[in-house]
Amino acid sequence: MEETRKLYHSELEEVRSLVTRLGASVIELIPRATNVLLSGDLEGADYLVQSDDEIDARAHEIENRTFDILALQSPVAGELRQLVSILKITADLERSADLAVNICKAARRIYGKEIDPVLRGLISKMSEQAEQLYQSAINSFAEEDAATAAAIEDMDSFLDALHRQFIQAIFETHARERMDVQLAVQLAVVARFYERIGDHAVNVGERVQFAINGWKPELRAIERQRQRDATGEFPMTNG
Amino acid sequence: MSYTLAIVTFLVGSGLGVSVACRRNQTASTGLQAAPVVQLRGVAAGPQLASSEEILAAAFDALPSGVVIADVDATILFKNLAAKAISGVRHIDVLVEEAVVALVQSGVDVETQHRRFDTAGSPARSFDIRTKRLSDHRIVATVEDVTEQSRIDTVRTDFVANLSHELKTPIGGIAALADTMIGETDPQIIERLSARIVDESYRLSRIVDDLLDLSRIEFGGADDWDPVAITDVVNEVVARTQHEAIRAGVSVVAKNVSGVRVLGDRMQLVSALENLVSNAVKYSGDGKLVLIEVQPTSELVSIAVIDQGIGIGSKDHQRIFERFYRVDRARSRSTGGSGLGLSIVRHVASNHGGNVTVVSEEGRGSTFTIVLPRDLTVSTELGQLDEVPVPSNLSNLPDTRSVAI
Repeated sequence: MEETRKLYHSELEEVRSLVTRLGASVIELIPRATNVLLSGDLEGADYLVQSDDEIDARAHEIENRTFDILALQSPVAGELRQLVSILKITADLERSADLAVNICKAARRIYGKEIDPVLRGLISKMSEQAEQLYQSAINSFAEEDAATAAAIEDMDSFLDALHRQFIQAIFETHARERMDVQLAVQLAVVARFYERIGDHAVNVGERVQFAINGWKPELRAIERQRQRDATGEFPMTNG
Repeated sequence: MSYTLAIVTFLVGSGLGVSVACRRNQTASTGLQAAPVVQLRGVAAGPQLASSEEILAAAFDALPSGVVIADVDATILFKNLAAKAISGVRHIDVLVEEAVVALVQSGVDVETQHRRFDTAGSPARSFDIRTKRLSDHRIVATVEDVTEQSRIDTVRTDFVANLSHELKTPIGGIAALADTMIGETDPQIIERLSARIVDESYRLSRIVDDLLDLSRIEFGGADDWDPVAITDVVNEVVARTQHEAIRAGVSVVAKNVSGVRVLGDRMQLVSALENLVSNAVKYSGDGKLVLIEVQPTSELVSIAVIDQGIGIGSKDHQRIFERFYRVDRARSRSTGGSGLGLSIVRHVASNHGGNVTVVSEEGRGSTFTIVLPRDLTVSTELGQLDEVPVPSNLSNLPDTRSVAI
């Protein structure tokens, strides 16, 4: 029995390290995609688009091994929460990699069109911010640090503000020098991708908290609903 | 099962390379004896390290380079501390470790391998990974952080490329223009061609002047330094750049503080500030403002040149002070300049015991700040003394105005 538990723990540790490694790849993918976009690097775009298959394969491996542990070891409490979190985190990572790949695909579509310096500056900032959020998220996962994980949501508001600023800047640029419509639309979509990557990093932070102490953001909503039920207030009239 | 690590050779030259043999203690069948490899006698006992193996592991952990040892079937036997955490940034450490393992596993049949591994994010880093197959077919891999080296390499190759580009362009232009002139008879065309030859020659001579200035500043000492009033430097620069500013529709405003002095070379200081202001004017649009702001503290004085121009992306911030570095090569044609301005600024600042920094954002403008140590021998009070008192022996000199006529 002792021996089995030991095996199980080392298997869990290995899966955790696979998640950290997948996270590292996603963190690295964000600035690479941004470089591709800002320098119009078509070769780089192709390379990154293809590298997504490897990320998918890794995510698949993590899921399979997690299922194995769940099926064979019947983990409970903290370990069960951890494994469930790993499944969700892996999905967030995989989705974020897809978004980074989408940025590369957008780079192909706007190839040869010049991006206004203000917009370039904001793109760099959004990229740095998204990368930073993911660095914190993966650090909190690897170190099982609930405090860092909880801080990510607040950090994300800066990226959201940049996103709004960017959309505003597109309008201003267009008012000033009539921007190409395709370029404007693609860039607006790209900004959305960065913003979504940030949201996934926030999700990872929430899963990490759940694994450590069982906290879920839904608990807040449930609590609000309970209070409304108690006061007999109809939710829609609340504004 | 335990292993004995034996350091076989220490290499060599400037780089740190370590070659390691690793063998199993119990593999008597290989004919290798498990000999005590390291004997340390009379070593003051710190925390007790039980075996030579632990001593070696601790020694490897103290190395700044990563060392990984793999068995014949590429399973990893040993990683030192740096191999697990070379950069101090988690995701980079993880990626480097992965790259090393991948290289080791791909190279079971190969004598030596070398791979450069770069990360793109913040911070961007470069690593050299090398593997070497040992005589017993185990593999040792080393990892080194070569971020700084690769940065210097880029600076050097870019410098040579840019220098030849900057010098060749006007020379090529002059040659082509002169060549056209030989067969030309129309006096109007000849006039236009020669005017352009003159332009290109001026451009060339400006580059050479700046290069000479730069090397003079680089090797310049503090032999003939005097107290220089910052007010005078700022006023002179405003006067010098006025014409350029008016032409560009830019207003240059100075927020001066009198009574602040630095010990140095007045011409160098003027040239440094002029470069900053002239850049600010050049990269601002019509109707924009360039502000020169002097702010003294008790020991330092900062001179900031603030513009609302096109700004500089953060990836270029470190490189713009290099000789001939161009943020946008295409634009450098239209704005002119030798490409040496900021390099001169940096050298002047460091010559005077100070530095220059930039804060900038694309599309929002730039702020270049020179910080210099104040000359406190004349006045220790902030913003008091306006002029250096004229030494009494100078007042005895003949009236220079009469000489000038």
